[in-house]
Amino acid sequence: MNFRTYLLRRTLHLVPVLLGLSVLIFVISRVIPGDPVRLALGTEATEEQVRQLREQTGLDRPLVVQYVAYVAGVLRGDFGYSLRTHRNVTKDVLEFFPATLELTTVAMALAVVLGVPLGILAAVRKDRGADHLSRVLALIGVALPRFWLAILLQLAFAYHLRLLPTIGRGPAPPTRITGLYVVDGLLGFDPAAAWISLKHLAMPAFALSVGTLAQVMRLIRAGMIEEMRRDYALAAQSYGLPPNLIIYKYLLKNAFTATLTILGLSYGFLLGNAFLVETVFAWPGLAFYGVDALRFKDFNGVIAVTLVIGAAYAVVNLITDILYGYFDPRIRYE
Amino acid sequence: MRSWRGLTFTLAAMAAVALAATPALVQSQPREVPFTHIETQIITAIDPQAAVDESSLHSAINLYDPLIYPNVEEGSMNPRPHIAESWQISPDGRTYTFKIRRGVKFHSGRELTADDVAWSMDRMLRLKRGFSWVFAPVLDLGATQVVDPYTVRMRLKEAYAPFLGALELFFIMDKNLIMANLRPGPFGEFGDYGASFLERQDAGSGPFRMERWDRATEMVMVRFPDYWRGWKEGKITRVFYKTVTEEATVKTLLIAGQADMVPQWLSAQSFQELKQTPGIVVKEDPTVQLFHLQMNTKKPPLNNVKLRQAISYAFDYDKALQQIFLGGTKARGPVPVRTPGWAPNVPLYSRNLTKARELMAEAGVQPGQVTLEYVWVTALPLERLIGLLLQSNLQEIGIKVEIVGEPWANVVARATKPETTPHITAIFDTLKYPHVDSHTYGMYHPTCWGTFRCMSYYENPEVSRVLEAARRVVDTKEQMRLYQEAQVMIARDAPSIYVANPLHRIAFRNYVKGYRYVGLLGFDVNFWDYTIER
Repeated sequence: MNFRTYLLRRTLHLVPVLLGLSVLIFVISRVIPGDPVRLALGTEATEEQVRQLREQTGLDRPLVVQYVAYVAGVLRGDFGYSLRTHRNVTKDVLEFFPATLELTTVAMALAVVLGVPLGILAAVRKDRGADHLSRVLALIGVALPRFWLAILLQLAFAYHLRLLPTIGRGPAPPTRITGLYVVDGLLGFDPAAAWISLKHLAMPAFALSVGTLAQVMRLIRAGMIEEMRRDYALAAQSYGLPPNLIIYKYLLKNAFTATLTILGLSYGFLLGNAFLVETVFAWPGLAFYGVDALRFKDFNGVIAVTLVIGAAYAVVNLITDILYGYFDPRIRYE
Repeated sequence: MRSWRGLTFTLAAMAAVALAATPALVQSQPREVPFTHIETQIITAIDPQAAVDESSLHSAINLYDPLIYPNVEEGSMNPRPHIAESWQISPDGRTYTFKIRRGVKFHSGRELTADDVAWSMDRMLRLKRGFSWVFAPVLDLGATQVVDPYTVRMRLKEAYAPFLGALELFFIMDKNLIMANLRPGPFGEFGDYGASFLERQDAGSGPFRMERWDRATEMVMVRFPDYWRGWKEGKITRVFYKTVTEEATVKTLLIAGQADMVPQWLSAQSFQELKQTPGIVVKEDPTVQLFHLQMNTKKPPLNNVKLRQAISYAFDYDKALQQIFLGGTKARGPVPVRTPGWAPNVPLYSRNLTKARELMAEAGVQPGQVTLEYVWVTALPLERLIGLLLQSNLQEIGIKVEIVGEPWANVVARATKPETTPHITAIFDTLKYPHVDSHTYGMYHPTCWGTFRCMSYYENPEVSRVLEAARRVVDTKEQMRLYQEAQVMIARDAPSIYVANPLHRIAFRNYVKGYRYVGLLGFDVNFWDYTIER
C-alpha cells in the first residue's frame, strides 16, 4: 500500500471513532442527573420558562431525534447552542481551542527541546553525576502535581521576581489568522506581540511540560544506552567517526521511536487535561471551558469538547504513525 | 505706528487667553484611572434581562441603569430614585406611576424615555429569563404603558408587596438600538430580541460602556463621559474585569498589586491572611444571607415537628460561628437579621441537650433508631465541616448522620421532588430581591416547592394564608406585621436549623475608597461608586 492510500484509510478510520465517541458522550451527558435548563435559567425559573427554553433548544425531543439533529448540525459545522455562554458552541470552540492548542504545542516543544538533550547527556554520562541528577529530576518531574508546580512558578517568577506575567494569554496580536498568538504575531510581522505572548506562555507551558519532559528524558536515556551497545555503534566508533555524529545521526534516530509513541499519546492527553494549569494561570483554553460546561451540564459544550479533543488525539496519533516511517525506514504502511 | 501697537496688543491678548485656557483644556481630559477587579466565575451573559448570577449582575449594574436603585449611600437596600425620579402608588396598590428623569443618555447618544422603560419590561416578560420570574406573576405583557415621554405606568394584576423593591433588578435597555439590530429568532416580530447583538455590545445607559469582552477571561469597560450622574476627579475610567478561578492566584494578584479588588468567594482563611497583608483592606459586613440546614418535613422521621425541634436544640451554633465561619451573626429565624422586616421576637434555638432529649422523647423517637442523610455541596467545603459538627452533635442524642457530598447540579435535581430530597441539606440563600418576602413567601409557601430554596417542603396553611395576605396589603406597617407573624410561626415549626448570617467579606487595595455593602447581590460592585486615592 502506498503512503497516500494509507493516509486516506487512516483518515476514514476517524469517522467511526468519532461517531462512537459522540454516541457515548451524548448518552452519558443526558443520563447524568441534573437539569441544565434549570441551571441556565436560575433555580427560581418557573416551569413555563423552563419549558420554553427546552423547546427552543430541542431538549424536549426524544433522545434519538436530538442525536440525529445534533450530528446533522455538526456536519454543517454547528455544535449547537450553549446554555452556559448563551451562544453557538462553535464560536466557543473557535475561541477557546487555539489557546489550548498553543499551550500544549509549546509544552510539547519544551519537553522535546529540554528532554532529549538531557536524556542524551544521562546516557553518555551513564552512572556518573549528570546521570544521577537527571534521574532525580525525572522523578521530581513525574511526581510533582502540575497545579502545584504552576502555583510555585507563579509565586517565584511573577510575584517575587516580577519577570513574567501572572495570568492570561496577554493582548491578542493585531493580526488574527490562526488564533495562536505567537504565530499570529510572527505572521503579522509584529515580533514584539509574539514576544509578549511567549512571555505569557512560559510558565504555563513549562508547568504542563514537566511530566512529559521527565518521561522523554528517561526514554531517550534508555534507548540510547541500548543503541550504544549495538555492534554498529562500536563499528562506527572504530572507524573514528566523530562522537557527535554517531550520537545525533545514528544512535538518536534509532532510539527515538519509543519516545515518539509517548509524545503522541502525551499530546492528546495534555490537550484534554490542561485544565488545572489553565485554571491557575486563567488561561482561556478548551479544557477550562469543558470543565465549566461539565459543572453546569451544558450538554452541547461537553460533547463539542469531547469530539474536538478526540479528533485532535486521532490526528496526532496519525502524525505519529507517519513519523515512525521517517525514523525507521523499514516500517511499511499497511 | 498705531496699527503696530494694536496688532501687538491683540497678539498679546490672544496669547494670554491661550495660556489661561490651556490648564482648563488639559483638565477637561480626565486622568486615566484604571481598575482591575477579579471575579471567580465567568460572566455568562451581558444581557441584563438574562442575568441570574453575580458576575452577570456586575456587568448589568455597570453597563445599564435600573429603574430605581438601592440606597447605597445609606447602606440600605430600600429603594431610592434613579431613572425613576419619583413615583406614586395607587391606594389599591395595583398602579405604579413613575416619572422618568430627563436628560439620561444611552451610550448610543439617544435620550432614555418612558418608551424604553415600557419596551424593556415587555422584553423581560417575553424573554422569560433573568428576574422575569419576580414580575411575571403580577404584570402582564402590555401592562406597562407610556403616559407621556417621561411618565410610565405599570398596572399590576393584584397588589404585590415586593414589587417596588424588585424594580431595582429591572434594567432599562435602548429600544431603538436593539430593534435596529434584530436577527431572526423565536420571538416573532422581535426576532432574537437582540441576543446576537448583545453578545458583543451593550445597549445601556450606565456609567460604563463595554469596550471588549473575551469570554472566560476579561471584560474591559470604559467610562461613558455623558453619564447622567457625572464624573469627578479620581473616579475610575477603565475597568478590567478578569475571571480567575484559582484562589491562590487571586490572592497573589491582589498582594502583588496587579488587582485592585477581589471577590467575596474566597475562603475565610484566605481573608484572614489578606487582613495581615499591608496595603490591603478586608471589609466585613453582616449580610442578608442565610446559611441553614433545611430539613425535609415530608420525609420521615423529619415530618415530626418535635424531632426537628430536638435537632435544632442539639446543634452547636457557637462552635459553627466561631470555628467554621470565623465570624458572622447567629441566624435568628429564616430572615437575615439585617433585612428590614426581620422579626426580633422570632423563637431562638440554642444548644441545650437536655431540652433536645426531652423533645426527642415527646416525639417518640428512641436513641439509635434514626439515621439521617446530610447532603453538602461539594464546591463549598465549609458545608462538609458543618456536617461533621452536626454529626457529632446529633450523636450525643442518639441520632446517626450520614454525610454525602453532591455537586450543585445534583442538589438542584434532587430538590425537585420530596422523595429525592435529602433529610437535611446545607444551603446558602441570599435575598433574591430586596424584600422580606424573599425569605418568607419565597421559601415557605408551597408555590416554591421543587427548588433548592424549599427543600424543607414546608406546609402550614395558616402561614400560607398570612403570607398571601401580607403580599396583598398596601399599608407597609400592616404588611411588616404580617410578615413578622409568619416568621414566628415558621421558626416555631423548625423546618430548618438556622445557623448563621455569614459575614460578607471583600478585599481591596487601601487606595480604593467608596466601597459600601448594601446586601443586594452585585450592587456593591458598581465601579462608579469608587474613587482611587493614591
